[in-house]
Amino acid sequence: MMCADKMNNDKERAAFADPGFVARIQSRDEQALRAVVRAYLNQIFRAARGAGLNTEQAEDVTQNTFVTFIETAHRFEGRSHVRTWLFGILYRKIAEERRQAQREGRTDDILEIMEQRFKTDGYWLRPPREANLDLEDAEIRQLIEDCLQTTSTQQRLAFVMREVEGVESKEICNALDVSVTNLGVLLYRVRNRLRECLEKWGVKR
Amino acid sequence: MLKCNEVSQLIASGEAENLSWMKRMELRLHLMMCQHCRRYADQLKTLGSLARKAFESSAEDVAILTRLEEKIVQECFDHPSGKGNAG
Repeated sequence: MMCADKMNNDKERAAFADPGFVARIQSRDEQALRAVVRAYLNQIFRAARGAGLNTEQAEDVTQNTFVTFIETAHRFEGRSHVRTWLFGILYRKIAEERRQAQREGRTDDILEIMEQRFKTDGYWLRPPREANLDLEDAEIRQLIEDCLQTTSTQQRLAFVMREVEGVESKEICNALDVSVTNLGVLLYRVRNRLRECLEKWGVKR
Repeated sequence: MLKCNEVSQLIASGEAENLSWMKRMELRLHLMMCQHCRRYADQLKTLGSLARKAFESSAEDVAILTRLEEKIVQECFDHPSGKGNAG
């Protein structure tokens, strides 16, 4: 099923990049806009939840994302793919909300944690421990959400876009407005943060 | 010769996917010899599949998505109100 999904997605992605279709988006053609909604609603909703929102919050921010997209469709120039544009709107909405809730910008000490895992010669001081991560789906989701608490919206979305949606680096960079180097730093931090957390959890178990 | 901290950096940042042939061989060799880094790499891979599993759409989501689509269409097309809250 994953494969069929991917093939459909690829075909759809190509069709949406067509200049004729971009022009229809710009002119706010209802059928075109509704096709975009139908095509990407699932991915945007999933990404919103992956970014740490509960179902209700994820619904709200997904709705806002598409409403903003439709209201500002005349500004869409087709320089990036319409999906990238949507992920960008989603990112800015979530970041804005988290800033207001003052949950953004907490100190991120993962670099320090990683540093302490290695000896000065660069080899492992405290190597990764074997962890049992054989979990039920609901447990995994809860655990990942808990583990992502201290990460930034940018880190989470980078992780979800890469790992869950399989989006290419260039598109992630465009949506999150970061350079390729920055994306590497974001992924490095969020993956290590998650690994540390899951390791702790899996060993304890 | 790559060190463990360099290996973890290459893998976690995703740089490992775009290495020159030489670097790629170095990385592969290191992973062959170093069980710690191998475990590290495996765990990062596991993380990815856990995340995919965790956020996979469920049957319950289908109902949510249908409702959401209706709400969006209604807000944007059925009742053109001209209230611009763009941005």
